[in-house]
Amino acid sequence: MSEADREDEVDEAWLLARERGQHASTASSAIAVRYAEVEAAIAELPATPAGAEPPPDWQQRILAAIDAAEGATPATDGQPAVGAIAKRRPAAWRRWAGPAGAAAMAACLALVLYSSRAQDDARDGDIAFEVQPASGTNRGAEPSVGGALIVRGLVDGPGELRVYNAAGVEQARCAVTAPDCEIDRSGKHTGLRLTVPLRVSGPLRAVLFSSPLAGSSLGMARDVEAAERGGIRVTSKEKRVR
Amino acid sequence: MEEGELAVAAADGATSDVEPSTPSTPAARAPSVGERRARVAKLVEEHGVAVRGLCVRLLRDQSLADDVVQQVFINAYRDLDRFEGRSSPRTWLFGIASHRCLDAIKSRHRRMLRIESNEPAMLAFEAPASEPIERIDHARRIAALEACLELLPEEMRAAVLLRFQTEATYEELELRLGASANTLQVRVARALPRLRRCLNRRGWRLE
Repeated sequence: MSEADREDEVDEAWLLARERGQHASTASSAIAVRYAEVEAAIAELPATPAGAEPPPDWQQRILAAIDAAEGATPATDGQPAVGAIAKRRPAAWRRWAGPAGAAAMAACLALVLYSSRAQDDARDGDIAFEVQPASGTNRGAEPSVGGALIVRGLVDGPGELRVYNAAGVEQARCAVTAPDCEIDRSGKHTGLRLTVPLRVSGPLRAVLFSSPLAGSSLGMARDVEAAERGGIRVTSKEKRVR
Repeated sequence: MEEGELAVAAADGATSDVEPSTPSTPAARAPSVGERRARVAKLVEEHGVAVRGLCVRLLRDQSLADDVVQQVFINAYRDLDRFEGRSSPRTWLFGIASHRCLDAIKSRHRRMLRIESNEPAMLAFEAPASEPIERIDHARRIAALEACLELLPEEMRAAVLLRFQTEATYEELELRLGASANTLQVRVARALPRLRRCLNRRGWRLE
């Protein structure tokens, strides 16, 4: 054992006694001084680590997620609008867009435009995810194969929620009440809750339409184009399945 | 701490006017949805950056951290009635965040189908310093500290950050981190000499 290792052992024993509130040894003052500076530095670390600044609308996203998950009504005293949740993080967008190809990129550009518009409305276009872990696993924040993803959408209008994979193929939808689709209509607002079993890994994109689309899906890009032509508001949000 | 002393007792810089719930008061009424949302919005405004910073430091993945932070505040919204002000809002939120982040880390570990040993971290601790520096400026000290914290195992890192960034007692941390006070004390006591050695190698002389 090196001298440094021995010193660490002595320090560790003293630190443990201190953390337990036990009487410190006579070497306490020297050891305390040795660690006081680093302990103070940890306490005073900047709230945001360098290079990890949050995106400008991240607080709005949090509130929007709460509204979507809990059905909370935004306060009227200048609280942020909830539509911001549909705005994507560029990194996630790039990860998702790669395999989807140019058609999906065009569709997503349209989604961005619609998402921006949706922010003008205090409740419209809100999407949130809730992870339902596979049985026998601990709860986790990330969706994984074998579990399920619960997608909640809140929209002004009758609404429809669809979930597409990275290739733009529809995986699930919620437009009428079904075992995997719960609908709560309150006034002009519609809350949609879609349970999506997770069978493969990869990104999923939930797309919320302010009105139901007619017919079967032609793929995400063409569905969004059709919605656009019909004046239907579209917002979306991605979740990656592990 | 008595209920109602929350703002005064928030020694970690919290100046929140988020009131603790007072379930024992017969006349107390449950807050409306709008009131609850306003309280949580206040928590997000006052502590969101710090909570996010903790998650970024624990997860080392900004995208995942942002997702987890959303869950933290959804939890806070749901549990607002149970927050009785025995700790500061920041300590309460840090506790939820740590638990959530460690869950996410476990999930990530399972996904990667391998168990990360501490060996790479220890090797990094043993790596020779690039250049001895007698005095380094504040920014470089912070950068060195961030780098050394990253080398700690996640659960040890969480214990250290909560120990020194909040005023939480080990009994409070025990509830939040799902580990005994004894285990948490051992983690902190082991982490500090590792940090000191790592910082010394990066030019920050701690004697």
